[in-house]
Amino acid sequence: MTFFLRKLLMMLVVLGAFAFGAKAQVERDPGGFITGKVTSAEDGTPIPGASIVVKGTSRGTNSDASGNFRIQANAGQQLRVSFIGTKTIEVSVGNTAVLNVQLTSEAGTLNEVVVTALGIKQEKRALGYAIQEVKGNDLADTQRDNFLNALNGRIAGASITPSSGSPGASTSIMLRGISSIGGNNQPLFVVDGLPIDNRTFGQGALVSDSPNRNNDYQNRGADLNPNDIESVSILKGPEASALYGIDAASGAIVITTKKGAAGRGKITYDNAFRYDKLYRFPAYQKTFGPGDNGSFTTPTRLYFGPRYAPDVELFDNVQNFFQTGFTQRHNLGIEGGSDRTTYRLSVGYTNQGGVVPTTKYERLSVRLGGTTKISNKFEATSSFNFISTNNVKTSRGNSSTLLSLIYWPQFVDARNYLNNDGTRRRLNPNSDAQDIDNPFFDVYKNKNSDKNNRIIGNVALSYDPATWINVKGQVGADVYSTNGNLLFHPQSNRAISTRGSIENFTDISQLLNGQFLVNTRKKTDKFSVGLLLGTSFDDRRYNVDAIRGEQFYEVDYNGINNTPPTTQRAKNTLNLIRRQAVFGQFTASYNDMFYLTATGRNDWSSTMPIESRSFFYPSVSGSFVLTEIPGLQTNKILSFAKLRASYAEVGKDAPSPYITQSNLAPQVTTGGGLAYGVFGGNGILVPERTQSYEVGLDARLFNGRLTLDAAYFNRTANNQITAPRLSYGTGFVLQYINSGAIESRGFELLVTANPVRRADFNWDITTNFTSNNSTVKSLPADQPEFYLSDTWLYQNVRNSLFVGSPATTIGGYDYLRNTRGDILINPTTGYPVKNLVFTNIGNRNPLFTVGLTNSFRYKNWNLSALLDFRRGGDVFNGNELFFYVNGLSTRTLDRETPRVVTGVLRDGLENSATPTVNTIQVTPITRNDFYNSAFVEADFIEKNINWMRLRDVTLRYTLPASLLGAKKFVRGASVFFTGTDLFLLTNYTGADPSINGLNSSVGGSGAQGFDFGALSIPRGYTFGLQVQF
Amino acid sequence: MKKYSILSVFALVGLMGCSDYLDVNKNPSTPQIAASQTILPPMIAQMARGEQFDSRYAGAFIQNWAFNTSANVWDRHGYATSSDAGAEKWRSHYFGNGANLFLMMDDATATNRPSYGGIAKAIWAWSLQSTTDWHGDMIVKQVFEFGRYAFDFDTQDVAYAEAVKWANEAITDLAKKDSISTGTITRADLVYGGDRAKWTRFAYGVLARNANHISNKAAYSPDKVIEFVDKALASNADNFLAPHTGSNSDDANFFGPLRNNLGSYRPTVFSMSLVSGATMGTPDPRQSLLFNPSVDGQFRGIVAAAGDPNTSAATIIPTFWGGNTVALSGTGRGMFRDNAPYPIMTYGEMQFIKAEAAFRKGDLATAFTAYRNGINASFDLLNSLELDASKRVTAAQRTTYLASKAVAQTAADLTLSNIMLQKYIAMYGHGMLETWVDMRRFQYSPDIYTGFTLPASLFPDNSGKTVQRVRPRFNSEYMWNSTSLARIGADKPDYHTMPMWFSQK
Repeated sequence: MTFFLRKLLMMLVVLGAFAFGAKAQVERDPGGFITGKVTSAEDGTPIPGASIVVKGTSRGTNSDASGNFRIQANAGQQLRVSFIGTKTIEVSVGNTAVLNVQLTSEAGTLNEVVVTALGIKQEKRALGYAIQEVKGNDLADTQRDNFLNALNGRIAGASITPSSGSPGASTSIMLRGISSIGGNNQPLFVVDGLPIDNRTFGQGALVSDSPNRNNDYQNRGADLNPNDIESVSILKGPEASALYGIDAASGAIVITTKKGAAGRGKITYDNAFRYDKLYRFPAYQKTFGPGDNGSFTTPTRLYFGPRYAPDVELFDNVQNFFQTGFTQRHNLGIEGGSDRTTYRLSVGYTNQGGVVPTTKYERLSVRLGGTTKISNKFEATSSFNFISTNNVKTSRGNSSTLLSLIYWPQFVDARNYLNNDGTRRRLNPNSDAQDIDNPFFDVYKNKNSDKNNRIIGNVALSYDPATWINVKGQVGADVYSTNGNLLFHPQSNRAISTRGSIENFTDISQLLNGQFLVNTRKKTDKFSVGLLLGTSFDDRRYNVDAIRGEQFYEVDYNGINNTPPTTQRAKNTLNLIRRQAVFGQFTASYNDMFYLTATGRNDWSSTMPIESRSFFYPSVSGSFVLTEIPGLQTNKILSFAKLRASYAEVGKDAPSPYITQSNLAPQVTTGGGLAYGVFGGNGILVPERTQSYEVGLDARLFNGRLTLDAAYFNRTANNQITAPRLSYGTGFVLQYINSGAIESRGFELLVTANPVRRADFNWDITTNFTSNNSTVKSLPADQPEFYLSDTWLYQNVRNSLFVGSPATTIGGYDYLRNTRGDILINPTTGYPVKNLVFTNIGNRNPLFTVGLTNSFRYKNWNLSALLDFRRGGDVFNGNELFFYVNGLSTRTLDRETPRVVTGVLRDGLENSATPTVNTIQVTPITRNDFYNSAFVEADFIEKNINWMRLRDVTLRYTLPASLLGAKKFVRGASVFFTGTDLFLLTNYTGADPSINGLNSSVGGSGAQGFDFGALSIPRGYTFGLQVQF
Repeated sequence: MKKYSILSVFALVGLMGCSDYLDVNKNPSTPQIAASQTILPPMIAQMARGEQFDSRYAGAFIQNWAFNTSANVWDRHGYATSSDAGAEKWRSHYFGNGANLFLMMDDATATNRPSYGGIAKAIWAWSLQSTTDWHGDMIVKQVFEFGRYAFDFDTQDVAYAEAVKWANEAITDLAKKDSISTGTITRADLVYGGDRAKWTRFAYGVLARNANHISNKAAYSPDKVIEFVDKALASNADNFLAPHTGSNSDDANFFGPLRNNLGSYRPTVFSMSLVSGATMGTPDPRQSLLFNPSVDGQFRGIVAAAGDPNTSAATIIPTFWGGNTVALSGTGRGMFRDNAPYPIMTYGEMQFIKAEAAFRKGDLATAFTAYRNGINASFDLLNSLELDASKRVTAAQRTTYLASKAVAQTAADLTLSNIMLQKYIAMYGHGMLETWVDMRRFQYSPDIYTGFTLPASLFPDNSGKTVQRVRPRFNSEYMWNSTSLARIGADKPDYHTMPMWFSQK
């Protein structure tokens, strides 16, 4: 993988390197200049973009497109020549003016290095578990503002779910499916060795204590500027947690940021301009107008009236509402340094306007990073990142703009949302019920935004007392504050009784962490051993202050001071979590053929009862390099093959603090006071345990032109700490207990190929295949069902877990049937009878997913495209059900046709040998309860949803040097066009099967597959340029 | 060097032993343990909340009001499937009040403050009584057992006995000497200002209800009922009125416009007929305290489950707040004001209980006095809830009404129907749960409730039977305690029509 990415990078550099001038030639230079050529030791091809530095000075240069370089050096000095993916070499300058250098590919020697846990670079061949690396440039090239969305389709074993197509919408990521029943299944995010926060704000901290379905908040990991990312390593299994601890039980996303390089200073500037257009909408009928049982009534938004008269003017309120979103992005990078000190400063600005009027996502990111070698043994690295975001949002769910637009009477132009006197134009001033907000009124008069300021700092000191030992200390801080504002206008139907409501919150989060590592290694001829000992701490403080007021003085003023003090309510939520750990890792290898790694870790967590706050867990992994077996070493076809296996355990603490004892909650009722909150505490909790194993195969064929990496894993999470709902006989609504187990397993395959490799034409293919599955082994308190209440978005459909079913099951209502399986019919109405029990009505888990990237280079042209395939997996089409019960569904168009529902009467004979076949005729146009009460939710689960989507396609043209001018002030320039989500082919009848109606703070198996009220992913066209000075 | 490094690691490991760093598992934003005076205010708010939530449905059963659109399931004696609607009492009994009351009792014992203990026990007794009267079988014996995930249901007689036990314990505690509580209780007790005598009367009120409800049983003792009433609320000054600040939607009266929970409810023809003169023969001046005329000046009611047939702004039936919509209703009026208190128990109710018991006993003189006391208490209560003095019933209007044929004029004339109809009017808009107990004792009989007719079409699952109980909370019991539920037949579609223990012989 990395090898090919290196090639890709090289290819890009080739294009960029034209800036250095195409006519570089070897000439004799009297001023002490040396010229030379950097080539590949394997095939003799030139290596452009290699770094050449005169050791001990700040002089440096890069090789040009032909691999040539020119640098001033005196005889006796050393040149250090390096390039990503090759071994760095040092050569002495002699008296000759020409010095050619050959670089040996590390992949060629099969010593490919990847960044693993704690930022430790390890030889990939030594790893006993799967790891996948993606280059930051590949992510930045997708032109997406949330880098998680850029990862989508690129990672075997990852399931990445954007919540909607709105600017700043949160995205959730799960590696290898779910292990926690109701808790967090997202991986840990690590930047330059230390964790950062990827939380999504949960609305439980608000005074209004809302569920997480009527608003969205950005997942904080998205704050990172994709342009600052050098590479992303994805550690999929809990092996990572042996070194990262509890939060990495679901894997880790290890991000390495770009660093400055020694040599001549470099300035890069790039920009991008994107147009987003919403093009996928759910379908609805425009034949029958509002009314009841076939006749017109006002005021109603039930579309069960007569057919529209032919002359009635209908408005396309949906098309009239959505606009073309415009985004602009600018990135400036400045880097430079000597061989002792390097730095990089980057500034990124994005302003994304949404397809919904008023919505936007704005981000400013400033990052400064540097490395200084204080002595040959002592190195300091530090970085500092300031990020400021501003997100203006729209409401979601039942009263989302999308649904209320469609629900709006089609013969009324929604654009006229105000009366002449500036008040809300109501459809029926005599009734409050049904008079929901016009979406135009909603976006222009109701307010919903959050602003975030964040600082991430990181300092590391590394000391090498001897060649065999390294000591490293690192401290980081991730501090951010979010200011949220949610306002319902006094005339909004949602605030008609409160006469305006406003809720502001300030979320100040502070993560401090640090680690101290001692890494030793010894190598003899055949044996190599290493021992890593470390300790770390993790200190988190989340403080949310929320204030809410009602009854506005001035109707159009947005501010808490605009409300009477008597209506104001405040709430503080302060969560402190502290953890400490010691850990060790022992590695041993023999003859570059056998590798063994064993780890042990002990965690102490403040969230557990004192008696069980300390817990230990081990892991062991090994790999066997088959191609080191004598006889296979010189095989021409199979250049490398490795078998690997690992076993790991992870302990996990309580997911939130203060649950060892029941919590009281402030009461906002008359007289205030305190009373128990809904969660019952538990003082006898013990840590959760996850056990997993993995086996895999790594192979390279035809000298690396075809590689494959296959993995099978199995993971069981036992004794989970969850808070199931129980009988209120407990005194609570939910109770924290230890119980429940989920087993998940899956197969992943990563294949890369390089079918064409020629000087002016190159074609790379990267494809990944993922197939995961899970089984619920037991549920909390031996209950028949466990569900995530936030996912109960609409009607009786939700994320339910049943014993023996997958953890991605959809629970909902189905038909009541007799023992033969016939649908039972109510003998009075002729309607089917609903079975009023949540049963398994679908599985959201896809059979498999495939991501396919094709990259072509032809001379100065690059074309790269990512296609994403999914097969299987069910989706709840909540929009369609909403339309159905309101008479908007196209399924209701045949309402004038009499029909007899197939089934047998529930008349007492239904289970006899001769049940009564239903003959009751129903004509729905005169009985609209046929639609709004006789449906079953199971009919709105769309089965086996497949898709193929073109996620990203980028065409880039690199300007030839001849166009850049002779002065070489501009060293490189390219222009590009990127299309994002250009097309989607799917058998799903709704707008977009990939989105969902919640935000990514939902735990457990998440909300993927619950499509309700969310905007589809818009189609984006981006163009821009990149210049290097 | 290696030695140093390894030593420093172990030095750090040693620091782990310093567990103070990890001792941050106590909630720093909200106390996890609280004193009685902190817990008591929300207990009172919860009493009102649970009852008012569910009274919307009780009000539909007894036809205090009905939905302004047709075929509402509650108007038809049905229930909302897979919904928690109708089971807020359940939530309050086990959760909202529930375990908090025991936290209060523990604190009262630990700090030797029996006044708080007595109050907590009185509320628990009241909650047991009113919850079983609403839901029937319920969790009594195994309640709050830690580590238990399935809870058995106990029959109603067990709940009745338990209510008596706790009421008696409350009375015992409230009689104890307590010099400590006075410092805090006057502020914390939003109802009685720490007056233990009044809480004692409230506890006797629970016993009076308890003894009165079993009027159909052989064990029924009118003397006992009268004895309890005589020790219970002795005047309107003893009324248990849960206060509402009404400053925002959180602390406002559940029935006020700010909460907007009654926006779709309108008076029924039946309840309107009791005060319009249609049934009683003489218009009742309380009509304009309880109800509002349409824009055209006419008072209108709707037939249960039929919805409001009027469509013009002039004739549609207005909300209980006065206007046709919430936006036109200001802060409401009378007992349906944002800041109106909610009566949990009244002196008037006690007098009607006494009147019924004395009537059954044959002591018509006592019954007659209590009956007239009850009517007068109702006038006084409604007048006190009406802030607009010009709208209050004048002494002259009251005298005229009391002398009219709408009210029994002699002990000899008094009928059980007279008592129950006046009790129905007196408890309009707040005593819906108790009125429903009464109507179930009399099986909705039009002989007692003159003019009462069941909705034309009952809920399909009822198989023609009237509603007798409300299902336990769906997302508590139906979801998570279904095995126990099946044992009492609560999984059957007509469970809500199963007669109560109290109403049977």
